[in-house]
Parts: sequence; C-alpha cells; structure tokens
Amino acid sequence: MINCQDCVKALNPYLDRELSDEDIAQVRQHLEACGGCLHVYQFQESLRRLVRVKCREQVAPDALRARISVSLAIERTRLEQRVKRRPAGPSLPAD
Amino acid sequence: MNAEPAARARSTTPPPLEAAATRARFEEEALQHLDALYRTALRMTRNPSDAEDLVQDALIRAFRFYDRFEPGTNFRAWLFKILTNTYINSYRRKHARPQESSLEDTEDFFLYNQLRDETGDRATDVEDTVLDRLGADAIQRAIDQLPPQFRTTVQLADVEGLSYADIAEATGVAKGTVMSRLFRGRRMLQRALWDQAQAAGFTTGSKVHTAPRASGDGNGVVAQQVNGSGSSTGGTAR
Repeated sequence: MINCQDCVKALNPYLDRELSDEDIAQVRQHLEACGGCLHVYQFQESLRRLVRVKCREQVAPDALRARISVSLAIERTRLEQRVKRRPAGPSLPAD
Repeated sequence: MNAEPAARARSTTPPPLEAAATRARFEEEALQHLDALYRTALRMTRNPSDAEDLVQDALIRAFRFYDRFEPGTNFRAWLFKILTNTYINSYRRKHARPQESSLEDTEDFFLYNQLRDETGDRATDVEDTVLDRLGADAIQRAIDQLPPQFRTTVQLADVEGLSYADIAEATGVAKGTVMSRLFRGRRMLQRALWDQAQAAGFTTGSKVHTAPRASGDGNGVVAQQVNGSGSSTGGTAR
C-alpha cells in the first residue's frame, strides 16, 4: 500500500481525475485505511467544490449572448454571399 | 438563425446549404460554452467590457476557422485555444503591465493547516469554515491575484473542469507545464483565498504559516514538502 506522503502527493491529480486506474485504486485503498489522509482529502475536495460552485455563479450577460448571435448572423451572410459569388466570375477577390 | 437564406439562394453550383447548416451548428454549439468563455476572458482581462469584446472577437474568429476544426477532437478546448490566442494577439498589449501579485509561495495544504490553527480543530469541509463566507466576487479576486499564466490554468482546471491535456491544448504549452502551473497556482490560490478572508475580517489573522512546519506533531499526514505530481516544483518550464 502507498504511504501517506505518496497519497497526499496524489490527491490533486486524483481530484483532477488524471490518475490511472491502478493509481486510483491505490489512493482509495489508502484513504479507506488512513483517517488523517481522508481528512485532508475531504477538505481539499470541498475546497475545490467551493471555488467551482461560487465561480460558476458568474455567467455571460444576456446582452453579450445577443450581440454574438447578431455578429455570427452577419458573418454567416457574408460567407453565403461569398459562396454565391464564387462560381459567377473567373476570380473575383473573395472580399 | 437557420438555414433559410441559403435555401433561397438557388445558385448554379451546389448551394451552400451544407455550409450554412454547419455554421448554424457552430453557433448552437459555441454558445453552450459562452459562460465558460466569458468567465475565463474575465480572468484574463480583469475587465468586463474587455472580456465581452474578447469573447466576441474569439467567437467570430472561431466561426471563420470552423472548417479547420477537426471533428472528433475537443471543441471546447479548441474554443479556449482561440480565446487564448485572440487574447495574446489583441488584448495582452493593453494589459501589458498587470500589477503582478506578490503572493508568497506557500505549502501544499496551506488552508487546511491554517484553518486547523484558527479553530484548533480540523474541518473536513470548507463549508464549516470561514471560507464559506467568501462570496463569488472574493473568490474571483483571489484568482485574479495569480500571475497570468497561473490564473488561466487554475481557472480552466478548477472552475471549468478541463483535463490537463485540454488545458495544454488551450494554452499552447506542454502537459507537464500545465501540471507544474497547477501545482504552484493552487498553492498561491490558497494563500490568496486566505488573504481575502482576512481582508473581509473573517479571520483573526494572527497566525500565518510562512514556512513549512516540521512534521511529527501528531498530524504528520499532511506532508508539507510534497512535490506535485511528478513535476518539479521549481517552476514553469516553457
């Protein structure tokens, strides 16, 4: 079984879901057996959650969403006109 | 917002129906990531109006280059990559001299140790600590105090939940660099969160760890000098 030092070292990649199955099993096994490491793990996990949940309260303003939709519609029209024009003449510059 | 204009085109060559449909799909898919892009842009520019312009510019670029996107690869990581590049090309100059923070590097489990000292107790959940009283704005200010490359990396990992590989793609660095930035960035973030809690008057602020303490005080499980995930603590390899 891995020791405490290896376990705490692996906590961040463990929380990031970046460990191999084998390493995940090792960490879990250690956490089940070691109250101290489990404590640290739970704290770190809740800290991550706090940062994630609170920061995600911030969302893009509706006005931005609307503005981007308009910009993309304009871009799309431009693109379609270019496609339409292309076959007509020998080589009209694209824009 | 649909393929109507293209359907009416009736040009002599294959109508650009397909292109129009593809582009309509782009908008639908890209706007699903708007909140994440906006939040990340805010961390990059630290200014709402610049963040809005940056996201809009990035999405227009993404739209124009959509045919270069390889289906099957991660669309979200691709959008973040364009956001990063747009920021570097157009906005970074404006923010050329961001006030660099003077966050001290600290230990791996700074907050855990700090709060244990504060309360004489070991909380298993930050919800039971003063940190829970920090609002979203305070947490965002804490992230904003990180130096830029750490800030974006921490934001993408800890708020937006991107994998190391996707962050590497999005920020144009090697995966090992992502890992070392995360390792150091998270340490700095803990310090910055603590500073926010102190600034808000939530803590006594009397005791702050400045150096790793010797283990063997009965709580040795929190190895203070553990290095991060196989990467050197030394710094950010480029």
